[in-house]
Order: sequence, then C-alpha cells, then structure tokens
Amino acid sequence: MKTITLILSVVIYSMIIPGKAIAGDEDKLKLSFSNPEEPGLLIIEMINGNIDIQGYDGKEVLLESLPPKGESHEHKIPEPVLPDTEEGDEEISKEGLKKIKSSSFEINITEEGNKIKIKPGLTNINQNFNIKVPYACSFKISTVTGNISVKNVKGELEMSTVNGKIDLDKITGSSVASSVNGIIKVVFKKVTADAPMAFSTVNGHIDVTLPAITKATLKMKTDRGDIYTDFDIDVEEKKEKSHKEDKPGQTETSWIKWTTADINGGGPEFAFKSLNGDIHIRKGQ
Amino acid sequence: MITDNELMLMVKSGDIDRLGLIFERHNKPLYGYFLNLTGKTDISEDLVQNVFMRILKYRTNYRGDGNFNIWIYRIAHNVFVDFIKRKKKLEFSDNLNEWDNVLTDTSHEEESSKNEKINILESALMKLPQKKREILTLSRYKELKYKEISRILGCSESAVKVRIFRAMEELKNIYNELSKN
Amino acid sequence: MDKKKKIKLITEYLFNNTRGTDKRKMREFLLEHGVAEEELSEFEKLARELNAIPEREPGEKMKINFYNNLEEYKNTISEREARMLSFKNIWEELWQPVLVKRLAYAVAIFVFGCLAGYWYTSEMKYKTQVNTMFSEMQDMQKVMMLTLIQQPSPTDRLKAISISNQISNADDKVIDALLNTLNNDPNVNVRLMAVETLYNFADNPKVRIGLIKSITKQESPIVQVTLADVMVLLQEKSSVDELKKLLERNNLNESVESKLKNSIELLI
Repeated sequence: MKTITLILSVVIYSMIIPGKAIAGDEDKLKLSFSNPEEPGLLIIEMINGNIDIQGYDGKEVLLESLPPKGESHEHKIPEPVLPDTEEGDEEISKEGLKKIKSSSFEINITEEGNKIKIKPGLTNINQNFNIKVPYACSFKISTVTGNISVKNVKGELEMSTVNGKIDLDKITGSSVASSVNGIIKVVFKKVTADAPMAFSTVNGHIDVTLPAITKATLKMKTDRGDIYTDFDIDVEEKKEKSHKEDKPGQTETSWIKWTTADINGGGPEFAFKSLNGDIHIRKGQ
Repeated sequence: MITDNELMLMVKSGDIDRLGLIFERHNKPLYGYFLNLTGKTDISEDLVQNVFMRILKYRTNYRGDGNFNIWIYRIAHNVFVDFIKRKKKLEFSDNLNEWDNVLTDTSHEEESSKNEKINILESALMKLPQKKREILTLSRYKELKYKEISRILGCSESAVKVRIFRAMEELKNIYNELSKN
Repeated sequence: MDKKKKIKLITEYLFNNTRGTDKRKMREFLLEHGVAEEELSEFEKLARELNAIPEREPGEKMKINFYNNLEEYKNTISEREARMLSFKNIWEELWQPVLVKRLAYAVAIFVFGCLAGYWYTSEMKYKTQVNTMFSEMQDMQKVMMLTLIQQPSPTDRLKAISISNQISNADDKVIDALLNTLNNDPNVNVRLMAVETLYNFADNPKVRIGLIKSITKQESPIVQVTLADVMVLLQEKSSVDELKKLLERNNLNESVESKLKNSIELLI
C-alpha cells in the first residue's frame, strides 16, 4: 500500500509575482498508479470546484489546479484596503498581489490498490481541477455544485452531482450517472457489452448518444418531461394507474412505470429516469 | 394456499423468513389474546414478540403433524404463564386486577355511550380471575374448538366446558354488578 | 340430567362450538330439561355481547420489531453456521466476478458430465444427481446475484439487480441483499434500481415493510420520489406517516415536496 498525503502549501503564493499566470508548471502534480499497466480508478470528491478530465497517451495522472470559479488567470485590480475588515487577514488586499481566498492550499491524495483518491481540503472547496489521465481509466467522481467534464477515456464512469452538469464525451465503456438539478450529457464512442447503465436526474435533462449498433434494453421514465429517440424501437409502455380513483376536480395523474424498448435485439438494461427533465437517446455512429 | 404447518416446516428447515407469513397470519389474534389477559398494549406487544422468538428457539422440535393453532396457542399460553411467574418474582404486582381499566380508560374515552356496554363488559372481563379470563378469551378468539382449548390448557374437554360455564356465570354476576353503578 | 351435563350442554349451546348442532333444537332440549329460560337468555345475551367486543389492533411498531428481531436471529444463526462451515469462505472466494464466468462453464460441463454419467449409473442415482444439478443451476443465479451486489463497481451491482429480476423464486437472502442495497448502497442509481426491483417482489410483506421503512432513510431526491410512487402504486396506506415525516424535513427538494404531497393525497 502506498499512501501519500500531500499538503501543497504556498502553491498559490507562487503567483505573487505580478504577471505570472496562476497555472504555472508548479501546479502540475504527477501522480502514478501503483500498477500502471492495469487500468486504475480515479476517485475525486469535490464540493464546488469544476473538474475537467481528458484522456492522454501517458501512464501518469497529471493534476493541475486552477483558481476558483469566477476568478481569471490575470491579476485583478486590487480592492481598496479595508483596515477594519472582519474577514481576517486573508481578505486584506495588497498592492501588486493577487487576491486569493487562502494563503495555502491543501489537497489530500492517496493511492491504494491502483486507486488514486483526490480530495481537496476544506479551505479549498472552490478549487478547480484540470486533469490528464491515461486513456484506460475508471472514475468515481462526486461534486455538489461543480461541473464534471470527461473526454476521451475508456472505463467505467461513476458520476454524481447535485447542481453540477455532467458532460462525458467520446467515452468507451459504461457509465452510471446521477444529478439532481444538472443535466447529464453522454456521448459514447463504444459501449461495453453486457454492462448495465443507469442515468437519473430530478430536474435536469438526460441526453445520451449511443453507437448505432448498441444492443440494449432501454428503460425510460420521466414524470413531467418527454422522451425522444431516433432509435428504431417498438415502444412498450407500461402504464399503471393508481388503484384509487382520482377524485373529481383533481388533476389526472397517471403513474407510468417504465417505457421499455429493445434496441438491436435487446441487451443489458440501460435505465433513464427523471422527474422533470426530458430524456434524449440519440443514435450515434 | 400454503398451510401454517407447511410454513413452519420450512422455518424448521432453515428458511427462517417464512416466519414472516406466520406472523402476518397470527399476530392480531395473539395480540388480542394477550391484551385480554393483561389489559396492557405494550406488554401484549412484547408477549407476542416472545411467542415468535420462542417459536424460533424451538423450531427444530416442530413435528408438523398436529394442529398448528393448538401449537401456537400453547406457546402463547406458556409465554403468559412465564410472564406471570416473572412478574410475581419481581413482586411488581401479583394482582392482575391492578391493570384493569386500561382499555376502558384510555382507548375509549372519546367514544359515545353506545359503547358503554362494551366498556362495562371489558371491565367485567378484567375483574375475572386470570384463568377464567383466559378460557373465555380462548373460546372467543380464533373459534377454537373445545377439544383444541383442552389441548392448549392441558385439561379434559369436559373440564373446559365446565370452566367456561363457571367463567360465564361469574362474568355475568360482575357485569350485572357493574351495570348497576 | 345431572348438573355437569347441563353445564356442558349450555356451554356448547352458547358458543355453538360443536359442528352441525342445530341451535334451536338444542335450546328446546335445554328448556325441557329444567334450564330456566331467563337464565339461558341472560347467558345468550352475554355471549353475544362478548362476541361484539371489537378486536384491538396492535401498533405498527410490533410488526417492525418483529422483523428486526427476525433479522437479528438470522444474523446470530448465520454466525453460528459460519463458524461451523469454515469451508464456506473458500466457497465464496470462488465467486469472485472474474471466476463467475469460468465457473458457469464448469457447472455446464458438470451437468453434461452428469448426463453422460447416466449411461453408467443406475436410474435412481441419475435422478438424484440431475435433481441436485438442477437446483444448483438455480442457486447459481442467486449466488451470482449475492456476489455481484457486494462488488465495488456500480455496474456490477446493477448487474446483480438485473439478475434478481430474473430469479423466479427470490429467497430471503436475495430480498435481504436488495433491501440492504436500497438503504446502504453509496450509488443513487443503484438504490433507485433496487426500489424498482423490490417493487416486483411487493407481494412479500417483508419487502413492503422494508420499502416503507426506507422512506425516511433516503437522502436522494430521486429515490425519495420513486419510493413515493411505489407506495401509491401499492396503495400502501401505512406509508403515509413516513411520507409525512419526510415532508417535514426542511432541506427537501421543491419538486420532491410537491410530489410527496400529491402521493399522500392519493393514499388517504
């Protein structure tokens, strides 16, 4: 077992020299899996920050931290000095310095059994990450408000957010994703045979593009949204009304269980469920 | 429908969860049985649990050739007898009559006078000695045959009839007494 | 007629306990044999009133306690069994996902071998062997389900749930695993699919109770909503309290709140 806990202090203070971009080489962390020959699992637990991941031709995970949302790479015009500020020393701006929320930045990284786990410390919940990973890599990523974007990887992608958006592009493999308010957009290059998948939201739309030849059994349900697809399917809708008769004057409620449809003869179950969002299932190439 | 005997044989063979169905079928009459005997809802609920725990404990002894009702009420009867013994040992109270009026006092206050008769009858039942109360309860619940009751209580069938008669006589007297007030 | 016999007849008459007895005839007989009509009527009235006492229903708590006790008991005996059967662990080791496929082939070959063995063994022996094989094949799905549902990958756990949809006679191990997943799985979608699958087993009272008890344990809005839907579909009125409890939470998602209110309305 290999465990590294890194505390990157003063990383951001390296930007105190005016004009220097915050995302300098100093920010790039090289992390290696204990068994780089086998596909690893990258676990990230974030709160507010956005995560941007791209597959690349390499064996290591390259982690780059970016400034919090809404703050540009260029230095800002200093705010007037407020001596009596209640926010504490960190909030006092200084001429020529970039205003940052915290003086140091802490991130916990552990590696165990070919799994790398990244968890920013509490003082850095707004930190964004730009990560490069080997093509073959699986993920387990959760955020609260942060957006997740993953491109060009091969593996199992487990994603969950509350308000963030999930955007998975050029994916080979399978995914299980959920969001409460954000949208889920997935474009598969190729799907793993026999791997079931599931996507769910409360208010966000679900938009999944599957390769045209995908064999699957689609199970779809949305209460107040619509379902669209350009796959050639025979829709078999299971409608189940509540056993109780609707009272007069009450809006009619029909309780649809699932819309089930086989594509290309059927296969593992792909479940799509939303309360208010639309479901789009598109035929890719 | 699967009979209770079949279910219990499954429980015996290790399919413990089948006891759930037996519970669903019998918990209410058993609860009624204990409630009539103790007059306390929480104690009755506990005693029902005890019955099912005892069934689990002795499940391997179950033969499955007899009448299931007799078997389960015999367990219930034993659970109750043990409860009384324990109660006496702890010297909480050996007078069951102290527990009376629970039914009439709490759960029924809001109900109108048309239920008054029932209230009086329940109070009268509570004033009956424990053995008489039990035999009346058994004869009333589950429509148990006298023969079955005799097996549950371990006495002869004719003794059951005589005891029921004596219990009815006494109940009638108490009832009339209470109705006067 | 002696007194004892009279007593017995009166009791039989009162509770009409003996089958096929003609009540009216019996009454006449009793009156003829020196039982006062007044006494008999009084007894009759009392017996009627006794039967009119409404049965009291136990609280829902009793049911919940029972199923909790049952779980506990099962745990204690499974621990005992585990101690007795140490090879069981080795058996379970065999069911690592990578090996499952290989083992499926192995079982298939084994069955084939048994069929071939038919030619060499007596018919009796053959029959028992095939029966054993058959049940083993059936158990196979269950074992696969129970193994997959414990895997770290959510895809594997979804597979387990898919399999349990196909198990015709889902036993309590399967139900327990699904209920445990419903309450404890870290992945929202896995929990969601567990609800949908448990719904298929809702004839089982244990499943119903498990679903009701789960309502207030769920943090995920989509799972909360789905459970509410299931309660309406099942017309499970005893879930109203739990749904109301959930509704009292102040961090509730707005869409969930309206859905819950709607569901409660449909239930009461």
